[in-house]
Amino acid sequence: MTYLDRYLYRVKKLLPKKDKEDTINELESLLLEQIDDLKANGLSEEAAEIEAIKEMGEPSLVAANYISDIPIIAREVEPYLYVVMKIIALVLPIGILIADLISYLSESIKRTTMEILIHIVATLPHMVMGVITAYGILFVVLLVNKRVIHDEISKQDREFNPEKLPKIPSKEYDVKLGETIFEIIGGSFFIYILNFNQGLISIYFDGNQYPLLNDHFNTLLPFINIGVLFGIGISIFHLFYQRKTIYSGSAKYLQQLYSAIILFFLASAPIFTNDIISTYDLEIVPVIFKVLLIIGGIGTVIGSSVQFIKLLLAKD
Amino acid sequence: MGKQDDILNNLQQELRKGTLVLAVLSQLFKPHYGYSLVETLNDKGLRIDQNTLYPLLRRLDKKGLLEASWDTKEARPRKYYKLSSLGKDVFDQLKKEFHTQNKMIQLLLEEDQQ
Repeated sequence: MTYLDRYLYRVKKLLPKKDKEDTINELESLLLEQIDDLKANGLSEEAAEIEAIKEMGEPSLVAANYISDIPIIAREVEPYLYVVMKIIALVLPIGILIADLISYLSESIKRTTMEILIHIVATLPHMVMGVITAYGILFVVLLVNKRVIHDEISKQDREFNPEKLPKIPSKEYDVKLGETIFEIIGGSFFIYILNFNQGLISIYFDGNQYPLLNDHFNTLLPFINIGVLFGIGISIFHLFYQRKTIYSGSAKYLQQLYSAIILFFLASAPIFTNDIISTYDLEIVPVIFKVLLIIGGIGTVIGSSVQFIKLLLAKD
Repeated sequence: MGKQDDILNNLQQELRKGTLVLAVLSQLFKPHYGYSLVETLNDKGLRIDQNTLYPLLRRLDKKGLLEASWDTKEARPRKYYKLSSLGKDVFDQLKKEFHTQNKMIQLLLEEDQQ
């Protein structure tokens, strides 16, 4: 894998979808021409690559130039802006909807399906407002960054060093942005429900709400929290570095094995409120949960082991 | 002096930016690929950043001023650009505008020297 490959990979990641392939093919062709010229002038292959890439400039600046020629915010930040905007557009409305539904459903009033659907529709303007507000805040932050911070920083000599470009990760080491964000949000949501809104995991019967989980579950809760928080931490690491490493992959595997053990513990422990189960003749519910927990545990062990073996066998 | 140099550099860049499109269009009556155009402009005294020229070619192509095509006959494929008929019209208009502006600026500068 050459410096040129790494460079083109980074630029390609930041280009908009439209004309991406054509732009990268052209950029590659042009850089190769320049590399040939530099080699003809006596430079080695590697030195010529580094020199050509250096002259072209940082990947984010190159991508920004292809996106627009009117910079409102710092040029090298522009490509990331579009990524963040896409994440906000996807994640924020879902988060608002889920939070609102939880609040709506946790009121001790029986709701019909129609009422729930009407409530979801009524939440739509809030979702739109949330996204618009978030975009507004984002632009203000980036504008302030450009006017106040960036211009000061760019006065200092920051040399772009192609040798420090990260290697192109193989498929197993590549991080999918959407998946990682989902893991973080899902994990946070899980922690919130189990620690601050456990009442949601209840039986709703005859207009009343009966919590399903007893104190045995609460004894295991700190261990569940540790596993989930560790998983969130690893996802944040992957999001920040935009790639996995053998160490983070190993940590993820250990976290998943730990989670599987917790699932097996939960399946074997008496975590359900017996009074409620027997009073309302719901013996099948704990059985179903146990089966699901065991299947979940086995699935986690097998799935995580397969992923980890693939990671070990893949070249980084 | 540092601040003055910064101001001067910025303004010089603005001045060059204003004529860059005209300079690029003037060379595209014959087909060029990006790198050959950089070399041609450099040889004629116009120093241009590759990172500026390549996206500019793409933007001019998108606006319909250029016609782009890939030449895959050589060992390495190259994307060639040349003026479209719209590009030739626009170039003629821009050239007239430049000469008009140039005369006006000359007059202003001569007045200043008197």
